[in-house]
Amino acid sequence: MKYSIPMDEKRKTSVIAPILGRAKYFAIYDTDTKDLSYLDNPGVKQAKGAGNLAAQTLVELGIDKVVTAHIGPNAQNALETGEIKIVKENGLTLEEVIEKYSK
Amino acid sequence: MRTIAVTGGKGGTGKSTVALLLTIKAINKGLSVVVVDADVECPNDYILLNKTSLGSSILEVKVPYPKIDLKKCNRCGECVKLCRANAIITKKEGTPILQEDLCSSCGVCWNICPQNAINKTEKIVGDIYKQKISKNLTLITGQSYVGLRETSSVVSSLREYIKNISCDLLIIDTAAGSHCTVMRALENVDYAYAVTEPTPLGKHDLRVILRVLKELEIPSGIILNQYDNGDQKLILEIAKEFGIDIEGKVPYSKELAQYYSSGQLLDMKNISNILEIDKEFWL
Repeated sequence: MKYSIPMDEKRKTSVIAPILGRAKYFAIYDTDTKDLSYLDNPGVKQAKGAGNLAAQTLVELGIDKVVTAHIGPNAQNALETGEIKIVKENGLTLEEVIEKYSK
Repeated sequence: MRTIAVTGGKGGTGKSTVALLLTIKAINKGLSVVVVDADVECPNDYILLNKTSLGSSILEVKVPYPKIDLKKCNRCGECVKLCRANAIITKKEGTPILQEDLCSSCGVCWNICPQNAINKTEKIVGDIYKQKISKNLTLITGQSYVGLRETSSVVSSLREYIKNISCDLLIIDTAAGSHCTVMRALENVDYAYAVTEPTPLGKHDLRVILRVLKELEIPSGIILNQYDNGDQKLILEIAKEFGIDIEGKVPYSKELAQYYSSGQLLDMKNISNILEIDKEFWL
């Protein structure tokens, strides 16, 4: 299963970003292969519709689940339209998220 | 016919009050005046002129709008990629869905769709109203629909509509801020008054709107509202910075506030004198 976690820093010990649409990066974690990679969030620089673009990027990548602290209405709608499940986690680090959801 | 705009950046600083004080001054000198309420997201000049409603719409504001024909669409994704408003998202298998409120009617999608699956249709986004207030005063109001994000189209329609209006003086009362909706209201006016108050926030927002006016190359002056209720030095600094003058002043006045809040401004005695203005070039 492919997870995406919005991050402001490319570090496993960093706490996940406060909001999806404007997070700097997306960590992409594959629970089958244990591969972790990072992707720039194109939503960061958008004047508007940041959440839509961020979410659409994840839809096109074939992500199954997003773990995020908060999510705006546009991103939420776009993720749901793309059949990506949303899980809310506040305050965990990336490695804690990976550990929790790898089980 | 001269066209002047009353603007100012900060909300609640007295733009509408000053616009109407100017109007009354001009009417008293025998001019015919048309006031244009271009604060289309919450127009309220009609309330200040003692009307309880805007009456019947004389013109609907329409903008072009895309409609996706899913039977023709082959899910290529070009529209999703090129939409600068990010208003098109897709389902997992690529079916495009337009998110209405984000669309800014730019037209890219219906022009680039390789399948010609996006049709240009129309959407009504607002109304224009016209009310005769007195012999020499007409009010034209634009109002955008609730929730509309791109309201400058309503101001563009207003500007288009008033091209055919004849009067001695046209006064455009703009919205607060310095965004597209305000800029559309300011384009090509002969003169702009930037209304402000002698407070730090008044100073900050005045600088922003004066930068816009400078960029648009519109000659302008400052009108200081409640000039005796703060620190005038703040505004004098900005006037100096931009090389323009404080051309008018309105004192803090409880009486003015009372007439204002009851929609009776036109009936206030000596009201013409409450706004002291240096150059009445528009007379």
